[in-house]
Amino acid sequence: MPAYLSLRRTVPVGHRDTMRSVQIKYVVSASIAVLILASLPAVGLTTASADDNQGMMIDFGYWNTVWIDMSFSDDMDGYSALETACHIKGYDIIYLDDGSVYSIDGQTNLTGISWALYSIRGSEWMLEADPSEVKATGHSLLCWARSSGEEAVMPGTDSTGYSYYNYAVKGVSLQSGEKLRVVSLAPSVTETLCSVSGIDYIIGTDLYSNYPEKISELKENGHISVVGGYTDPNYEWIIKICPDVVFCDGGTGEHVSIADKLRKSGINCVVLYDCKDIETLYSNIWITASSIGFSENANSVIYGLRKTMDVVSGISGDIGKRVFVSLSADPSPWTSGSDTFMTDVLSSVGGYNVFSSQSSSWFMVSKEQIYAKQPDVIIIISSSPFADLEGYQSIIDGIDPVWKETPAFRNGEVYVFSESAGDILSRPGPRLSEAAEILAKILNQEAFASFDPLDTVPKYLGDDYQEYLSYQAALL
Amino acid sequence: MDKKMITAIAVIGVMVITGGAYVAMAMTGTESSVPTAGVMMYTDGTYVELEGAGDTVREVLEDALVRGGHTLEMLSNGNISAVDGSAAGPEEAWTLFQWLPKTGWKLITIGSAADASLESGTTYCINMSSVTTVEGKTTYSLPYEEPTAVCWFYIVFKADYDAVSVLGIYTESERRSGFWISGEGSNVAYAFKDACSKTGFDLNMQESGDLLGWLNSFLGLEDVKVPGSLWQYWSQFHWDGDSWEYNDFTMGYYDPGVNGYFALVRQTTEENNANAGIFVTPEDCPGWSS
Repeated sequence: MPAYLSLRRTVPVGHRDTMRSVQIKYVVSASIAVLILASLPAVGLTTASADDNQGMMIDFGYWNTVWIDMSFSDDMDGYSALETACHIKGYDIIYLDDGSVYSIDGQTNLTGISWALYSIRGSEWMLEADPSEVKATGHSLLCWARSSGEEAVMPGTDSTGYSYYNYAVKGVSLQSGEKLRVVSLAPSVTETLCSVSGIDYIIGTDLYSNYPEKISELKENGHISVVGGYTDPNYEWIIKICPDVVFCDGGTGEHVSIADKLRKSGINCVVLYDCKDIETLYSNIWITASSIGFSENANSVIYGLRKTMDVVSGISGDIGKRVFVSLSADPSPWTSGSDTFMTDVLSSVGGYNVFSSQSSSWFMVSKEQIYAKQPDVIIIISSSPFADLEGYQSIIDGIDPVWKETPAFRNGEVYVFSESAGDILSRPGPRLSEAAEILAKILNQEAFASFDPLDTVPKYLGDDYQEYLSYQAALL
Repeated sequence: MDKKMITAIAVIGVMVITGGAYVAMAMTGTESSVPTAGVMMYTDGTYVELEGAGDTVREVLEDALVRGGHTLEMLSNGNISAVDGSAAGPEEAWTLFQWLPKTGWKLITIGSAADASLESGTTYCINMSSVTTVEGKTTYSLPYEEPTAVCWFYIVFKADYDAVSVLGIYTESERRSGFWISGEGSNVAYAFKDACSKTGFDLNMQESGDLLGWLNSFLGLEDVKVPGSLWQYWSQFHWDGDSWEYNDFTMGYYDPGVNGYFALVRQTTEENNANAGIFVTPEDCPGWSS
């Protein structure tokens, strides 16, 4: 109530008449405040019920995070809250002489990375300088993190600032006490949900979600409803199937809008972060898993993905090949610029997106621009399915003559991804590690062949792309 | 001369010209521009021998298997996924090898070999390999049989035809006009060794290493330095389908399936300027086949 506080500070002591009028104003103000509060759900300015739940995150760093569902008592400060959380999990804490935390569960401070307490302000983490001064009950969420600062801590809210904890425990809704009912509005979100054991809770998806294969089967037999397209989710359909949580893609404006609308109707939404790099993917996996009460699965999935990324990037090395990624074989196609997962994945396997200097994320380029960049490798994501050499040759033969004046074409380094192979390059989900492996093999075939002479990728990939994967770590 | 006689002469003339052209084509090996290759295929614990024609490895394999009544399934990268509908089991893989006479079987992929020029007579093997991975490195077991072929050697003396060590080999006239011997092996050096073994000819040959097939002495005759920076030695040639070509490598580097005719000439010649002057062709060989 900032207006009330401001009023009190300006009232001179002893001016009773003025005071009386102020008291009247106070009553009126309070009444208005109550009315405003009561009407908040109707105008969509409330947070979901889960925001009232309390708990602690312990972020060990390196994408290893633990969630502890607990209640903060009145006498708890930052340290005692940590001790309670660690007691629940069975973790040891070691303190330094100055009282600061040195290690939790054997995970010690490192150079430039140390244990500290963070609390949520809006959607951002804030470092608490003195944990003993932090009154735990003043917060719904606290985080002890071993990190270099706020930016390095696992997000405590979704991309719209809403808490994502405690919608469910092990797939059971905390609101209804029944099996969680989940809707996904994007293929990448659906794949993320499924990777953390969420498939059994999905009751609705967008039109294009088709992986894992079971999703398509469940859609065909009516167990999963289609709730609209990717950019035009249908509010009424979503409401009709009564989900507990709707998962949205924060990179799509329409999803942010419909999340706001659904929250007004009392439906919890989790809006994942716009996935512009692999680290954001890890955050999204954590948020997704935690939202359905399987946060421990997130660590396993993230560990598997990181392992794969480390191995394939280690083999491919920093080969520095210049890569042009095209969303079609049109002379002037769409491509990816800076701040895209494509640029990050290419970079992680030793390549260089020739248009990464462009500030736009996805944009159209002219054939003259493509010629000017002289890419070593061209990746075409084709919307037309084909499965044989003839189809590939047809695309190659139809390539614009200007494209043919590039090292990529002259050296036969033009690759076409269609069907499922195209999906892995266009969906920022857990299959990005598969995309990374295929791209790594394209960029440095010799390096991979030195480990396995038959480990090569063809010039065209479709639904059979998984035949060419050999370094994917198990996720769960 | 009546019209019938003129017509008959004309027909015979055409036949002679056509036949001559055919013989010429056969001699030069250009009667067909499509190379052929041998294909060994693993099936039921053994290897069957097939032959296919084509300009690329893929075409040769496909042709050989069709001719042999087999089926072949490949992935887009050219790796073999199934043969006769049978996929590889756990710890196994269908693999493709190319025979290299000097080093043996070499694992290849269609992707890497498909566009490579295919040399007629090369042998490939579709093998069921066991797969072993140690410290991240994967290896595939080799075919357990090696391909062999018969090779013919024309031996002729332009020098040393009266050397003591060769006096028991045919007559002097035959030594000077040359004679043919043959042997079988997985490379020409081994085929030559086999030929010498069959004939009882004395041979001291390098049988391993980079100089596999190097002749230390043959029929008791070594390389001899003669005045004027000249050498008296066994100069060696292979028939390339058109003419005798000086061997740039020792015999161990040649595949008898690819090069089936060799000439060994005992002569004195200038270094790096050997001139064969051999007046026979493989057509004169008892084992000649086009």
